[in-house]
Amino acid sequence: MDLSAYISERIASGRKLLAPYLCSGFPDPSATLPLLEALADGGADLIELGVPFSDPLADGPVLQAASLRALRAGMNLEKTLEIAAEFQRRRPEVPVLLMGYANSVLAMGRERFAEKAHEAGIAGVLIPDLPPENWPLIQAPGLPSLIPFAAPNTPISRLEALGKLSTPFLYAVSVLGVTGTRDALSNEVPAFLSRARRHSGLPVLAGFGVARPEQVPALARACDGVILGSALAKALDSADPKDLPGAARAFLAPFRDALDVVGAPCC
Amino acid sequence: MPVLSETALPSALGYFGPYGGRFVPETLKPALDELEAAYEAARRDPTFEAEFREALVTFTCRPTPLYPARRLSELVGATVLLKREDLNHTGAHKINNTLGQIILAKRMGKTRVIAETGAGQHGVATAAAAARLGLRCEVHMGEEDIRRQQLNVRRMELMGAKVIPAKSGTRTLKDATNEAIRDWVTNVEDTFYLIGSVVGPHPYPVMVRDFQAIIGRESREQCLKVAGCLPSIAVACVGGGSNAMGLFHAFIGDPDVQLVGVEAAGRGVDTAFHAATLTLGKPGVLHGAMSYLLQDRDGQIQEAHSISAGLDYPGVGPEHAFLKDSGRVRYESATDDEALCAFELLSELEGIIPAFESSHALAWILRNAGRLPAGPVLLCLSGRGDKDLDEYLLRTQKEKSHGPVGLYL
Ligand SMILES: Cc1ncc(COP(=O)(O)O)c(C=O)c1O
Repeated sequence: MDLSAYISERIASGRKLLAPYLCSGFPDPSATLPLLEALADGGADLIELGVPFSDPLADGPVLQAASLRALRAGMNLEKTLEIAAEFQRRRPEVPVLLMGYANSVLAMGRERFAEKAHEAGIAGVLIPDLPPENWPLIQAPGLPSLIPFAAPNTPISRLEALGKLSTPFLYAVSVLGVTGTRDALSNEVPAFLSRARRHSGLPVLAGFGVARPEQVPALARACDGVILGSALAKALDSADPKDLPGAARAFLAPFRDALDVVGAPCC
Repeated sequence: MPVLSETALPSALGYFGPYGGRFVPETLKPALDELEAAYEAARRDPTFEAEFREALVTFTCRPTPLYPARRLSELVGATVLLKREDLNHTGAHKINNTLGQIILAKRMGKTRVIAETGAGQHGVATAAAAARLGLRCEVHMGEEDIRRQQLNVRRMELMGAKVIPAKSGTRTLKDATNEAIRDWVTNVEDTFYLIGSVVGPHPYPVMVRDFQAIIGRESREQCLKVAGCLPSIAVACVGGGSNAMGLFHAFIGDPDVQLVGVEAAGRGVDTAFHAATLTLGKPGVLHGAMSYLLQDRDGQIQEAHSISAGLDYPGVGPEHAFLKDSGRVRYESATDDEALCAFELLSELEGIIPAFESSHALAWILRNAGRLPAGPVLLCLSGRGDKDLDEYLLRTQKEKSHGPVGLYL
C-alpha cells in the first residue's frame, strides 16, 4: 500500500485519522488478530502494531507492563509479522505500521526484516530509538517507509529537516516524556502540533498522553489525527477477557466520534 | 600535564568504528546537542580545567598513589603496581567522572542532576559531587539493589540525595538506567543526566573517558618514575568500562604495553549466569549506543550475573567494543569464585581490601602468574571493598572459604 497517498486522500476528504496502538501479544498472543480486526471495525484509519521489547525506554508503566506480559507469553518480531500478514490478508484496506525498538530489528538482520515486513504488507515502521541519522543501519530493499518523530522541544530547523525526508507522516510526541496517559495536556500542545505541521510540511499525527475523548478536539484541530496507546492498553487490561474485541470497539467509538466532529465540514 | 586530552576517536557523530552513536528518542536530541556543545566549550576553557583540577586535588586527593605491592609481586613473580583508585574520596574511581560532569552541569545552568546506580558507588559519588555544588540530586536504583546495598542508600540520603527505586524489569542496574533515561526525557529542560560509565549516547562515552583518563596519565608518569619504564601490561576490570578506559587511554599509543580488560564471568562463561558482554555478547543497541550486548536471538536483553554489582550489566562502552574488534585490547573474564579468592588474598597479603569489581582484574593476574610478560604489571585498583563485606560474609558464612594464600604458595 502507498501510505503517503492513503493518508493524503483521507486528509483531503476532511477526515481526521484515528491510529490506535496495540502491543502484539497483549493481553495474550491469541487475542492480537481479533483485536486488530476489532480496531479496524471500530474506525481505525491505521493501526500501529507494537513489537514487545525487554527494555522499552520510551514507554511508561502501562506499555512496559504490556510489553513484559507479551514477552512472557512468547511474542516476538517474527510472530508479530505473521499476525500482521494474516490481518492484511483479511483487511487489506487498513494499513498496519510496525512500532518497535531498534534492537529487535537489528537482531533479525536488516535484509531479512525488510523482506519479511514487505511480504507481510507492513505500510510503515516506527522506531523511537532510531533517529533518521541512523536509518541507513536498517535500510534494505523492500523496507516500508520509516516514520520520523518530533517532540515539543524539537527546533524549527530540525522540523524542516524532518520534513525533507518526505515520509508519509510525522509522529508528534505531544509531551516531554514517555508514553502514558496524561489527565491534562498542556495548552502548548496545539501550538506545537501546528508548528510541526507548518515547518515539516508533513501530515502530523499526535501521540503520547492522550487519555480521553474530551482531549481530542483541541489536538485534532491542530493536526491530522491522534494515536492512542496506553489508554487502549488500560481499557483492555480492565476488560472482560472473553470479549476483548468488544472492549476495543467500545473504547474506540467515542474517539472516532470526537474526531469526526472536528473533521466534519461545519468546523 | 593537561587534565583533558585530545584524540581522534570518536568521529563527529560519536562513532568508534561501527560502535557508539546516538540511539535515543527525538526528545533527547536537543539535550544531547546542548551537552555536546557545552562539553566542547568546557574542555577548551581554562577556567573549567582549573575548577576540575582543583576538585580532583582538594576533594578527592589526586594524584592517587601507585603502590608497588611487594608481597603480591613475590607471589606472582612479577612487579605488580597498584593504581590506588580505592583511595579516592567515596571509595572508587567513579568520583573523577562525577566531579567533571557536575561542574559541567552547573555551568549549563541545570538545577537538578539524576544518575543511575547499581551497587551505589556511582550514586554515592554523584550525591557527594552534587552536595558540594548545591545541586538537587536524585538517583535511580533498582529495587533489588536497594535491598542489597542499604549502606550506600543511607550514604546517598545522608548527603541529601533522593533514591528512587526502579521497579521495572529485573530491578537492577539495567532497569535503573532505563528509568534514568525516562526521567531525563520527562524533565529534560532542567535536568542533567550524570551517567556513571563510558556508556550511553554520544557524547557520554567520550566525555566520561576524558574525565577518567587522569587514571592512565598519572599511572604512566608514576610508572616511569617508580620502575623507570612503561608497564608491560595494564589490567583493569570492565563493567561499563570507565576505569578500564581511563587506565587504557594513556597507553593506547604504546604498542609495547599490553592492555587487558577483565569482565565478570559470574558462575562461569559456560553457564547462563555471567556478565561477560565482550566475551560472549553480540553487537546491538541498548541505552542509546551500539555496542556488544548480552541478548537472545530476538534481541531481547538478557540479565547479567556477577557477585559484583558494579560489573553486573549486560552492555559495555562502545569504545571497548571497538578496541576488542581492533585487537588492541584483550578481553578476558574471571568468575565469582576467582574474584572472592583475589579479594581475600589482597586483603591478607597487602592489607588492602579491594572492591569485588577490582578483584576480578587481580584474579586474572593471579591466574596468569608465571605467564606474565617481563616488566611491571599495572593493575587498576578501581575501588575499596568495604561496601562488599556484607556480601562477602554472606557468601563465606563468616569463614574464609578459599585459603587464598595457601592456594597459591
Ligand atoms: C570499584 C568499582 N570498579 C569498577 C566498577 C565498574 O564500572 P566501570 O567498568 O565503569 O569502571 C564499579 C562500578 O560500580 C566500581 O564501583
